[in-house]
Amino acid sequence: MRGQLKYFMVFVLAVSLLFSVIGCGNGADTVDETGEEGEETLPEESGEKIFIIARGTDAKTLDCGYSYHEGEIDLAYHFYDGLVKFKDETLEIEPALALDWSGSEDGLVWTFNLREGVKFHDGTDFNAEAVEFSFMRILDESHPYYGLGDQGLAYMDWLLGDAIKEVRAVDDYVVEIELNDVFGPFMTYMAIYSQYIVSPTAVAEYGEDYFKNPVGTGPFKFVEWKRDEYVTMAAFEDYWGEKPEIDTLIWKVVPDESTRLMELQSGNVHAIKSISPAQLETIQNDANLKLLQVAGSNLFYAAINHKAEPFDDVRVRQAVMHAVDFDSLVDSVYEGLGTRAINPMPPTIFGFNDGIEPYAYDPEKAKELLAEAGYPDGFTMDLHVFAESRSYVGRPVDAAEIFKSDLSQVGIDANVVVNEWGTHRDLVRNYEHSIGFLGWYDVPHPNNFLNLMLLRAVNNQYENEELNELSDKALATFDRSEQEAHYREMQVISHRDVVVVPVAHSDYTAVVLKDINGFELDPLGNVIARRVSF
Amino acid sequence: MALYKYFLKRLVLTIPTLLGVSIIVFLLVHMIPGDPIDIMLGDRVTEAVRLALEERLGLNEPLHIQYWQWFSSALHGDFGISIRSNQPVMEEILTRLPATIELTVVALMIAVFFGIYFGVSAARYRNTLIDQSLIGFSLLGVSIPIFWLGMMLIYLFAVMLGWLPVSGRLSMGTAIPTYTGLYLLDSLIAGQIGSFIDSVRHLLMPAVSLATVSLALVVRVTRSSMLDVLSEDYIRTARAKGMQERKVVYTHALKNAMIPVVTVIGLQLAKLMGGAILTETVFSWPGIGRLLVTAINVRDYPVVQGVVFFVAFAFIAINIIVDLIYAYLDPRIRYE
Repeated sequence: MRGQLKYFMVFVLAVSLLFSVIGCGNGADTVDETGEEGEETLPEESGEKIFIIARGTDAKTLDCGYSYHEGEIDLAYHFYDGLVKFKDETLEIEPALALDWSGSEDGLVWTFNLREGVKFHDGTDFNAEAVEFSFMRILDESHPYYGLGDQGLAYMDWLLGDAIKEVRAVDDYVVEIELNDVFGPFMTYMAIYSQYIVSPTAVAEYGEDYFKNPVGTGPFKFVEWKRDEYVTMAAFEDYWGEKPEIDTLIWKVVPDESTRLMELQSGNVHAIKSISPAQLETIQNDANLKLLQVAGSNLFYAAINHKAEPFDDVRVRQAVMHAVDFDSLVDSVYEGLGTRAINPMPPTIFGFNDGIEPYAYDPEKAKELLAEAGYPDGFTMDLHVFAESRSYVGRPVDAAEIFKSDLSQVGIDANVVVNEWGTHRDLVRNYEHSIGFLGWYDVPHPNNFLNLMLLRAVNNQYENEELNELSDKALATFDRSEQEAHYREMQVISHRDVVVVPVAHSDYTAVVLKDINGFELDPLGNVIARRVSF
Repeated sequence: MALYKYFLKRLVLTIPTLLGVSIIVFLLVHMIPGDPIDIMLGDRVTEAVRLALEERLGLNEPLHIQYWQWFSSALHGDFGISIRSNQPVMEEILTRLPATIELTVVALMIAVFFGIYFGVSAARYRNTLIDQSLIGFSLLGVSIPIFWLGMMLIYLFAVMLGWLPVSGRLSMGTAIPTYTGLYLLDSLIAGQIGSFIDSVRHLLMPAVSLATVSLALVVRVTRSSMLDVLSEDYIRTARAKGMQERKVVYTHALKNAMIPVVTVIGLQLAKLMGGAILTETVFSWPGIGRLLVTAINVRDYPVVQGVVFFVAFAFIAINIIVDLIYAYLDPRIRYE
């Protein structure tokens, strides 16, 4: 028996030894061994500077024209350039592939003078024809490459389809964009990824497969895409602008958020995108990590059905605003990764009216208003909310529960109805709600927010001629200050009438190793590694 | 009845099973609230875009027509096109299959090898400290959630000790030429010893955490089966004639104790595939488990159907193989 026991112990020891040998072999050892093979070169050996970003989702397409999701947008901002771009960390416009531009007297024809000597990754020249091609392949149904690679939605068409009449190459380096009408947000929209320029030669060459062989003029060119694993980019040696300091940029897909943070803590990746509030403390206590947090250009709000009693009465809507303690709601739902919303647009973009005082938390006032409106004992209602986390809110149902509990203090008995997103959205679109939570995000222009929330009666059955006129006036001018005046006025009306209930703006987050410089998170939530150095 | 006849009968019986599976999966997938277009296009879907896309994806047809279209092309081996990636579903599955096979096979090997060895040891040293601690560990192993175990392993071995990589199949920036898609094999074929060690290092934690539950079960089943066998007369005879104890245990007893163990192992293979869904998510392992999770999240109907159908098929095949192994292990078993 003793002999058998010895065998057992020897076996256990041998296994643990094997485990520790494999376990201890770190990257450096591996390199030494493989150096002799002569075939494979591991990154550390060649002195190549590799920067790795871990994020939760992969792209569907690498064609900026049909990009639409977070997983694609980050990449588009590295492969491609637009005629104009947002100035670093602000949402102001500055030149990129266009050197300058000017509008005709009537504001309908915009002439862009293009930068010369710019090359696409495939070696072909960037010129006016490439600009015409990039726009017309999406907007013009008779274009030979129209719809090629379409995944269901061309964002350019959504943003500018109605505004742009034609894009024409006038000269090798002069391009004209003709609009149907004066369209205020035009230049802002031009800085968005979907309006970036693709190589016509590459689209023609790859055809259906262009979506996995992207060719732009950006600082990084495409190397490899292993679906659901990673996208690899290499610095483009002929880049017209500031050349990247790193040689290789890898976007690794790590779906689980805890694993993502551990990848960073162990130094296997250099940066991660998006954290949850629960991870905030760990990150702040880790001296090796740097948290990037920017106020997001998004909005979480509650849409009111203005034709559903009793919400057709402005006093009831105001009562709701006084009844809910928005500050503590935002604190408990966002846990430090969000701010209270005051207007139906984020303060990060121009035109935000900072003169508006938010409704104070005042249950007594709310009760008075309800009594005035004829509901001294309150009323019962449904409070509709969606189940899933979205970019503007991580825990929508918790928000609804807190909202409900605050309403109950003033006698309003709200019944929280949770639905899956699609069902919820249809329900609100069909006005089957009294109050229903929704959200909005991205393009940093007041029109993108105010238009949808206050006009068109989309989710609220609210009609106000004054607001429509203000919006039309703002759209019909390219003058920033004039636009701003109209948009500020719209927010005053929205606040007074409580057209919607603004709730919060969610922060965007990323975490990077302490020694890394130049890694940025922009106000639209995109991570930018164009200027990374270490 | 001859073995081949039995085999044929089993094969024929798989047809109605697969048909049933396909209908149930099809209905379940379409019953999940939410549709792919909403999820794909998010907040900006307009009615026109929506209708156009519905038509393109064939989602505007009544359900039974959709099913029939899917089933009839599935019979020709065409499982449709993924809504998410626009790639053929079969291609999506096949490119990810090797990763899952590598993970589950290695996990199964760990579970079987260690499970049998520990089970036999526990039986031999019944009621000793070894037995009790092995039983204790296997109880722990059965009850531990894979997800949690994976996290803890990563935290200990990757973050704290820095011995192993956190996730993925290979270090970023390295590549292995593809022959089989199994990195362990491919790296050896290509003669890249460094990459082989790299992939072993990446495989270790996911395989161990995936293997744990099965390993614990194999330990318990082996132990109890061995205890039965070890009390048989022929074991006493073997010992009485002076045979080495090791030989008695491993040649005489073990083969006879294997029948229930093989059953458990067969079932475990299917269970491992289920476990792979969690393990692959925790360890960013690019296999079909993760493909399935992503597909469910975006309601990529063709991919969900394809993957589940595929796994069901594999499950049935494994069951048949296990039955055939019985006959080999115990010639007394006849299939009537």
